[in-house]
Amino acid sequence: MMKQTKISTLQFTILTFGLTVGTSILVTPSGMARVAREDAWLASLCSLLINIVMVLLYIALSRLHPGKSLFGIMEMVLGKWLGKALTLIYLFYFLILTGTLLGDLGFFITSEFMPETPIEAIQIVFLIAAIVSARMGIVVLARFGELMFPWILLLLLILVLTLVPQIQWNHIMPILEDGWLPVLTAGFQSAMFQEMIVLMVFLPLVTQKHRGERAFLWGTSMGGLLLSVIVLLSVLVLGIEQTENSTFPAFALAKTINIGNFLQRVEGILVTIWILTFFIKISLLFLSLLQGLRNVFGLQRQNHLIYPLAVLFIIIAWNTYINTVYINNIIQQVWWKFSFLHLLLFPLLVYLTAVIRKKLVPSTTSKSRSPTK
Amino acid sequence: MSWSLLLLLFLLIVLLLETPQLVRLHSLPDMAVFYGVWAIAIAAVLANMTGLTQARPLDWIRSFMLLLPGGSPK
Repeated sequence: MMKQTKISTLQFTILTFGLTVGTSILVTPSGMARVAREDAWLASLCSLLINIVMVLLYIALSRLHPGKSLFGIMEMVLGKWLGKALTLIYLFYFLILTGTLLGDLGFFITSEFMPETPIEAIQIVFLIAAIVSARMGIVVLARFGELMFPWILLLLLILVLTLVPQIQWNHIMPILEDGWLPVLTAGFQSAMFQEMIVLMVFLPLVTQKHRGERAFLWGTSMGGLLLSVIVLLSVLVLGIEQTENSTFPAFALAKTINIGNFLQRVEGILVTIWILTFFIKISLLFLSLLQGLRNVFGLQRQNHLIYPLAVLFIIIAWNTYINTVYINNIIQQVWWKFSFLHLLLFPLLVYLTAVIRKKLVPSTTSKSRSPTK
Repeated sequence: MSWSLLLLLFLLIVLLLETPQLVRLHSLPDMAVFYGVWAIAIAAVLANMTGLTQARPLDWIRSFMLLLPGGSPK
C-alpha cells in the first residue's frame, strides 16, 4: 500500500491555526498590555495584519518555485552551498524555539497547575508525545488536528461566552491615548512570536496548491482573530495592571469565570486548548527540523534522528527557563529581533533575490520551474 | 534522581538500537548525521551535568544580536 504524504486544505488550515495559537494564547496579552496599555486589542489586530502580510510574502515566494518547501526554495534561489547554510541557520532557530517552548510548557504547568511535580517529568512526558507524533509524520498530525479542532472550537466558545458577563468596557478607555506608535510596536513585536514560516515546509504537501495558499491565509486569520479576542477579553475583564503583571494573563482570565457560583474553576478549559494547540506547534517544529536535516544532508531516512534531537530539546528547555527574570529579559529585548531575521528579513531577501534572478536569467528560472518535486 | 544520567542512559540505548539499522541502510550521510547529532546531544547533557553556564543558547543569541546594528537593548 502506498504511503499517503498529502494533507487536505482543511487539515492545513487547522495546522496553521494551531501554530498561530500555540503558546501565544497564554503569554501574548501581557506583552501587549505592557507596551500598548489600553490599546492592546488594537495591537493584536495590528499583529494579525502583519502576520497576514508575512504569509503573503511566503506565498509569493512559494509561487516563484511551486512545489518546493522552504528549504528547497532557499537552495534553488541562493545556490547549493549558500542555500544549505541558510537552511542550517533556520534549523538552529527551530531547534532553539522548540526547546524554549518545551521550557515554557514545563514552567507554566509547574507554576500554575502542578507545583509538586518535577518540571523535568512534565517535559519528558510531553516530549514522548512529540516523539510519537514525529515518528508518525505530518499526515497523522494533520488528522489529529482535524479530530481535535471541533473540541478546541467548543471549548473556546464556552470560554468566551462565560467571560462576557464580566466585561467592563471602561477598561479599554481611553482609546489611542498615546497615539499609534505603542500600538504598532506591540503589534510588530507580537507578530514575531507566531512563526508562520514553519508552514512553508509543509505547504507543498497540500493537495490543491491554490486552495492551500488560501488555507494558509485562513488559518493565520482565524488564529490571529482568536488571539485578538483573548487579548481584548484579558483587558476588558482583568484590566491593564493585572494583564500586564500576570505571567499568564489568559490563565488568570479563565480563573475569574464564575456563573452564579455554580460554574467556576473552569481554567482547565484554557489549559486543554493550550496543550492541544501547543502539541500541534511543537510537532510541526519537530517535523520541520527533521525535514530540514534530510534536505541539507540528503538523507535516506530521518526517523533515527528523532531521539537525539529530543534530548537536545530537553537540554535547551532546561537551559532557557532558568528563571522568570532571565527569560522575560531575553523575550522582551532579544528574541523578537532574532525572530524578525528569520520571519521577515531573510524571506524578503530570498524573495528579492529570486525576483532579480528571474528577471536577469529568465531561461534558467523557467527550466528550474518545470520539475516540481 | 539525576535526570541527566537518565538522558545519558537513553542516548546509549538509542546508539545501540540505531547502529545496526544504520549499518543495514548503507548510507554514509545518514550515519554521519546521526553520529553528529548524537555527539552534540551527549556533549549537551554533559555540559548540563557539569553546570556549564556557557551552554545557554539564549545567551549565544543575545551575544549575536548585540553584534548587529539595532541589536542592543534600549
